[in-house]
Amino acid sequence: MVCRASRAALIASLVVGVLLGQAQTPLPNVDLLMPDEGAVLYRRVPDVPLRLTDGTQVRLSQLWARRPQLIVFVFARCAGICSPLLLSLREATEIVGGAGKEYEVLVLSFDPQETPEQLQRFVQRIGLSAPVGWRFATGDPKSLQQLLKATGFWYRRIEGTDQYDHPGMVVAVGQGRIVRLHVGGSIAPATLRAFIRELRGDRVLTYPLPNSSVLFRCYRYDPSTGTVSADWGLLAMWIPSVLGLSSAVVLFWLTRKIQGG
Amino acid sequence: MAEISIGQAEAFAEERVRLRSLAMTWSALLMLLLPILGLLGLFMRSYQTQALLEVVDVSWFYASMTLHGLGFVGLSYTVSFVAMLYVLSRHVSLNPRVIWVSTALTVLGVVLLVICFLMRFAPGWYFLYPLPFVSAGGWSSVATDLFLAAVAALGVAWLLWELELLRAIASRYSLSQALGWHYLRGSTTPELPPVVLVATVCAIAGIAALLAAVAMLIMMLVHRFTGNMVDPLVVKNLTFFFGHVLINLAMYHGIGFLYAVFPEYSGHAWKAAKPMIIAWNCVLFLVMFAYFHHLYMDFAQPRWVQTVGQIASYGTAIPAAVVTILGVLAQVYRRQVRWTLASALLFFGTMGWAVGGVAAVLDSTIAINFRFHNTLWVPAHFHTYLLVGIVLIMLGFVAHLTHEISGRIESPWMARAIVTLLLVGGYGFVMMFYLSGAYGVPRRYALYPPEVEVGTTLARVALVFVAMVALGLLLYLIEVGRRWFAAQAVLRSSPA
Repeated sequence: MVCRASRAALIASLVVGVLLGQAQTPLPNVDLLMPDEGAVLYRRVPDVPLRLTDGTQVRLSQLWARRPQLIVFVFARCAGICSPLLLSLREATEIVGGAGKEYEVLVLSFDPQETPEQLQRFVQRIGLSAPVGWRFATGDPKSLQQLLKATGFWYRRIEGTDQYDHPGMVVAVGQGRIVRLHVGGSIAPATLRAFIRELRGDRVLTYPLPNSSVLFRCYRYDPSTGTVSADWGLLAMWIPSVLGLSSAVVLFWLTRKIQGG
Repeated sequence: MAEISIGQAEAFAEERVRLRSLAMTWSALLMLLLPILGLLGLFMRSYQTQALLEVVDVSWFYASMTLHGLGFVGLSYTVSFVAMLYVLSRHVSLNPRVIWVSTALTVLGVVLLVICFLMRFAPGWYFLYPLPFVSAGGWSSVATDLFLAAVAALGVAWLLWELELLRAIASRYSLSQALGWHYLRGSTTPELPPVVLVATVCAIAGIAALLAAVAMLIMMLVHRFTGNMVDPLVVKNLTFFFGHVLINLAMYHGIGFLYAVFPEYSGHAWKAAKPMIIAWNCVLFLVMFAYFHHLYMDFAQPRWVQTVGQIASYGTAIPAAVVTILGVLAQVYRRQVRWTLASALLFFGTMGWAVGGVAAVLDSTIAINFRFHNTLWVPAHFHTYLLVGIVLIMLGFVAHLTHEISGRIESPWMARAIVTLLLVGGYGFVMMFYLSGAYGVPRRYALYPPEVEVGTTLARVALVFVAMVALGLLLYLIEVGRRWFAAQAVLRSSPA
C-alpha cells in the first residue's frame, strides 16, 4: 500500500510540477541600481580631505569626531532631485530638531569638477544659506571616488547634457562607520528621527512600509505621527483560531446528532 | 455516554490491527528519514567548521537548512501523531482509511520537498514570505511552485487526519467530556483517559494551525498568480501560527503516548486529575497565541500583541510541563520500573522536553529574546526539545511498538549503550549551540566572520558529539531495525 502510495505521490508531484511550470508568471524584479543599505551598513568610511565653502580645509574624521554626520551627495547644476532632497532634509531637521547639537549635515558635491564657489551659489539659490549645523564641501576626485564607493553611491553623465543620473541619498555616519542609509528624493521626519536615534546608539529596526497596493495589510502606520492602527489583514491572524474552535464545536455537535439520530 | 457495545469493541480490535500496520509503516519511515535528516544536519555543522568551504557550494548549506528544518518538524509532527493514534485507538474508533489517505498525501508532499531541495530551494525552514519568490537567482520559480504544491498536499493530508481524530473522539465523548470539564465540577464519570484529553486539545489546535496554513498558502498563491504584493507581516504571523503550533503538537502527541504507555513499564496507572485538566485546557486556549514570541523583532506588531505572546508562551509551557514532569517523576519514584530501551527513551525524552522548555521559556521572555533572537541560542533551545526530547520519544515509540508486536527485547547493555550515546552526544551537541548563543554567534550563517570565530571552534567540538549521536542511532537502527523485521513477520503470519 505504501509502495503504491509512494508511486502515486511521485507521479502526482511530477504532474503538478509540470502544470505549475506552464502557468509561470515572472517573479518580481529588484532594481539593482538603487544603493542597498544592507550592503553598506557598518562599513568604515574613508577619511578623505574636504574643502568647505567657507574656504577651510578639513578631514572628514575631524567632522565625525565632533558629531555624527548626515552626508548628502549633490551637484550644483542638478535639475533633478538634489534640491528637493535638500529642502526636505531641511524641513525634517527643523521638525525633528537637534541639528548642530546632536548631529551635523554635510552636503558634499560628488562632481569632481565642481568648485566650492559653484556649490555656494547653488545653496544660496535654493534658499539654504547657512542653516545651523549644516556644512557644504567639495573634494578632490580621487578621495571623492573612495568615499562614493564606500557608501554605494554612483553617478553617470547623461549624454548631450550637463546633467548626471544619480540616486538621492542620505548617509548617517557615526564614529567613522555607516550607521544608516536612506535612498529617495526626499526624507520624512520619522526617518530622520530613526537615524538620529540610531546615531545615539539606540537600536532601530527597519521594515519597509507596505504601500496601498499591498494586499491584506494588518496594520496602517502613519509616519508623521508614528501611530499604528489595525487594518483588515489583522482578521486573517484571528480567523484560524476562531474557525478552529468553532469547527470543533460544530463537529462534536454534528457527530453526536448523527449518532443520536 | 462513554460505554461501548461488544460489537463496537470488535470493530475497535479490527481497526487496531490496521492501525498497527500503519504504525509499523511510520516506524519504518522514521528509521529511514531520521538518519537522512541527521546527515543534512551533520553536513551543515561540518560546513560551519570551514572544512567543506572549497568542496561544496554554499547554496547547498541553505538548501540543507531548509529541508533539515522542514523535514524534522514534519517528521516529528507526523510520527508523534501516529504514536498518539496508536494508543488512542484503545479508546475510540478511528477510520484507518482516512489515515492511510493522509499518509499517501504526506508522502507526496515529502517527495515534492525533496525535489525542491535538489533544485536548491533555500528560503530557510520558516520560508518567510516573500523569500520563496525572491531567490536572487538561487533557485527557479518552478522550485517555488513545487514547494507551494508540497505545502498544499501536506496541509490537506494533515487537516484530514486531524478532522478524523476529532470525529472519532466526538463519537464517544461530548466536547466538554473530552476536555475534562466534568472533572472540574467534581465528577469523574465518564472516566477520561489522559490520551483522549491530549488528543482533543491537539486536534482542535491542529485544525486552527492548519487553517492558518491554508490562509498563508492562499496569500502566497495570490502573489504567485496576480503578482500583487501581500503584507509580509500578516503572512509571517500566519506562518508562525502554523509552524509554532505544529512543533508544539509534536511534543504534545508524544506526551499523549507517554501517558498511555509509561504505566505499562511502571505498573502504576496514570489518571486524569484536576491539575492535568487545567493544564491542558490552558494549552488549548493559549497555544494559538504563543507564536507571537517569534515576532518580537517585528516592531510593527503592537506592544500588546507582544505582551500576549509572552503570557501565552508561559501559559502553554509551564502548566503542562510541570504536570507532566511531576507525573513522570511520580511514575518512577520508589517504583519497580521495568527499564527497557523504550521506557528509558520515553523517560529521558520527557526530561529533554523539560530542559528545552526552560530554554524556550527564557527565549520567549521579551527582555531576553531582544538579545538572543538572532543568535545560535534559538537553535539551541529547539534542538534540545527536538533532539533530546521529541526524537527520543519517537524512538521510544518504535522500540515499544516493535517489542509489543515481536516480543523481542534488546540486551540491557545495548539499551544502556544506545541511551548513553544519544544523551551524552545530544546534550553535548546542543551545549555547543548554547555556548555559541552566549557568545553572540549569529544563526543561519554558513561561515562565521572573524569577529565570532569562536563559532567555528564550537562547531568543530559539536562534531565530536554528533559522532556520538550517530553511533547511538546506528546501534539503535541495528537493534530495533532487526526487531522491526521480526515484528513485520509476526504481523504477516498472524495479523490479529
